Amino acid sequence: MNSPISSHEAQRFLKWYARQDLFSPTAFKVTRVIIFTLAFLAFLLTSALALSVLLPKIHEMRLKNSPLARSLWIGQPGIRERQLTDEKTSQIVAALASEKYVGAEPTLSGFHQISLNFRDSTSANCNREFWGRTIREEDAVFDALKKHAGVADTGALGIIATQDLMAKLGFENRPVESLTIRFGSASNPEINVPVWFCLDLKLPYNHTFIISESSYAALYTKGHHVESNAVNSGEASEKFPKPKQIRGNEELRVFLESTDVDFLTDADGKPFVRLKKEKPMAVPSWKTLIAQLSVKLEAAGFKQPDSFADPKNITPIDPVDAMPQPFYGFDLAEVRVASVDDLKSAAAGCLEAGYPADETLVQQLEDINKAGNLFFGAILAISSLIAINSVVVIGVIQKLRCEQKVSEFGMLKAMGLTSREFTRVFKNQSTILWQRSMAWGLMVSAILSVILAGWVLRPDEYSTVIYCVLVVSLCVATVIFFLIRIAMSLATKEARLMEPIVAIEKR
Amino acid sequence: MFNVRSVSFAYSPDSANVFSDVSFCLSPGGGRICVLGPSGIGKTTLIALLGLLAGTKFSGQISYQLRDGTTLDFGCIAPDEIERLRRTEFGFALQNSYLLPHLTVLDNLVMPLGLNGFSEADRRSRGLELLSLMSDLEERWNSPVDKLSGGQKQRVAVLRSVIHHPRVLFADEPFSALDDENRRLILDVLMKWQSKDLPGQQKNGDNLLFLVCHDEDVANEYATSFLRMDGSGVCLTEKGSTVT
Repeated sequence: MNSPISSHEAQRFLKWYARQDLFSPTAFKVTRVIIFTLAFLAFLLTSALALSVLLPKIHEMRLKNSPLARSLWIGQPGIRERQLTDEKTSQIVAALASEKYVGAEPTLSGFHQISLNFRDSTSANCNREFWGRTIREEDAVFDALKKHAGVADTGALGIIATQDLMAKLGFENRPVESLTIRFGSASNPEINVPVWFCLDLKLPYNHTFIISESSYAALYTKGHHVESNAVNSGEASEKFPKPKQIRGNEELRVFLESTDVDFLTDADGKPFVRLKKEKPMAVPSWKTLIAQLSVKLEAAGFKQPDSFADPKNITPIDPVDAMPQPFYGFDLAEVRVASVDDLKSAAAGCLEAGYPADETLVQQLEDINKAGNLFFGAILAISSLIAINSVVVIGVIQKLRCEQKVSEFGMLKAMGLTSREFTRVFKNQSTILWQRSMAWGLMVSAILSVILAGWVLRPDEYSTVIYCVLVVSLCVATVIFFLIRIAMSLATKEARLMEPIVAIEKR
Repeated sequence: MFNVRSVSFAYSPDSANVFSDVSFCLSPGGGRICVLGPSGIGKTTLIALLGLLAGTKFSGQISYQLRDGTTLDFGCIAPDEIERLRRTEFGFALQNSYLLPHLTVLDNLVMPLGLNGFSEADRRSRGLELLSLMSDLEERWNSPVDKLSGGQKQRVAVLRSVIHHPRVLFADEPFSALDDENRRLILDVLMKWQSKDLPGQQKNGDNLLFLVCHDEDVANEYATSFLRMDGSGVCLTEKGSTVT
């Protein structure tokens, strides 16, 4: 030998040999089968694992992005029936300032629980009552709701229905924009109330809708015509077609019956929507009370005028103007926290203060996590079995190839191919097979991800999906890399250890 | 160069010995040794043992003296040393060509150079230089070897066995199934290698050829020594006198 040995050149030569050995015309058919098997495996594993991670993740994201996600509804006998007073509000706020709740300062607002009674005109026996809540413009959650298209900016009347309500009324396939609920009665002017949007969220306390506060009560819809008892009993019979007359795209009819003829009612059957206009105590009654009090005070020796001067600025001269504003509390309260992750600690804080919160959303998130983990585990187990199976098949194919070429390997060993180089050849081949198969498998996965993303995902979810697919692809590619290495190592072990003359004569 | 003392060999512990108690000694200086004997007597196995192709699990002692005078005992030789010897000191031309069918003539030819770390340019130049010895192969240097005839393949295999200029060449019936013309061509190459007349071959050194063949005429014409194997043992004779 009159030329220096270059390990670098020798390695290049081994790489060249590994490639030639894989892609020679006779070997290429088998190589192609292996590459596409591995590519399919990569695609399958990436898709299955990415889906198993993404489905619960996206579900959770959507839940967290829901306008009501950061709302914790608090209910307790003591704060129902409009008894959510300033004092109780203070107690709740104090509870949330405890150590259990570590989030940013929450906002607290009250709301009313109301019921709507729907009678489906298309099935005679279907008479359903649905519970919902009210919302006011000044409530913190209203800002979040306003981000949805269709929600009016200021004080307009509207309904936010849950998908559950829509499904129960048979409207699930109808675009929300086509639905308008009309409040009205025989004695009141009718008013259209749009369905602002459909909420993809299960509400606490089994509520199925949110309605903004208003002064009107009877309901119609454009697509589904709903009317109050009063309308139903009189005016509606000629205004709207009979259920049996409905054809094709014509209007369907669903009757709404409020428990009070003219009004939506709260949980106690009291007219609620008109709360804002509920009259204060009559002035004569107030004057009578003041007069009676003055007599008693004078009899008790108190000075008349001074008794009313301070601290409430009440004077006997103008007792009507000085009349305290009537206080109307709320049925339930809503704590709006800074982050969905704060819900649990906020609920714990409220419970400690004696105000149990409805943890529907927390429960939903936990259910998603549990189901997601279970789903991921099942997919991982199935994927592992498929991966092991595929690798065994590839190992067997590679072993058969090795047996066919054993004399070739023997000759290479006779020429001085070391065991280390022999291993390196197969490592090179593993790497080539891995690179090609991953390129195919991951490319198909990426294309399908893009198609899927454009089809079902929302723009704000793209980055999560891309990140997840990348991480899963990386994991899958790494696992497959080692599985190929193991398969190749086992398949070539016999040929590697065989003495050259034995290998050569095995032909 | 080779000192073989009481060597017995079996391919596995539970199988019978291929041969037993073989002894002979080859002095440095090279030569052409024709290994003769009936089929199945162990000629191939013997040269495989000498060429370190059959492992080192034999009884007895085989030692090999390097050019610098160092003696290697094959019974306790390190794996790295075995691979180095196979790669640089020994060459093998066997009954079948064992070429890689998907590679071209030139690619097959330069395999030992590739394993020895020669650059692609060096491999190519030395391969073409050697192919110039055989005009028909030179013309087809870029053809896949599976397009060649049996004789051409065997000639490529013989050229491959000497391209890295080994010190010892083990040729195991390299022309057993070939016609006279191919046989002559192969023997010419072997003679050129042994006499250090190949292109680029250094003139110093002591090349040793082990040629296994059944043809007494070829043996008598080309060999300088004979290693005869029969049921009673091995006998090394050097055209007229017994060495051991």
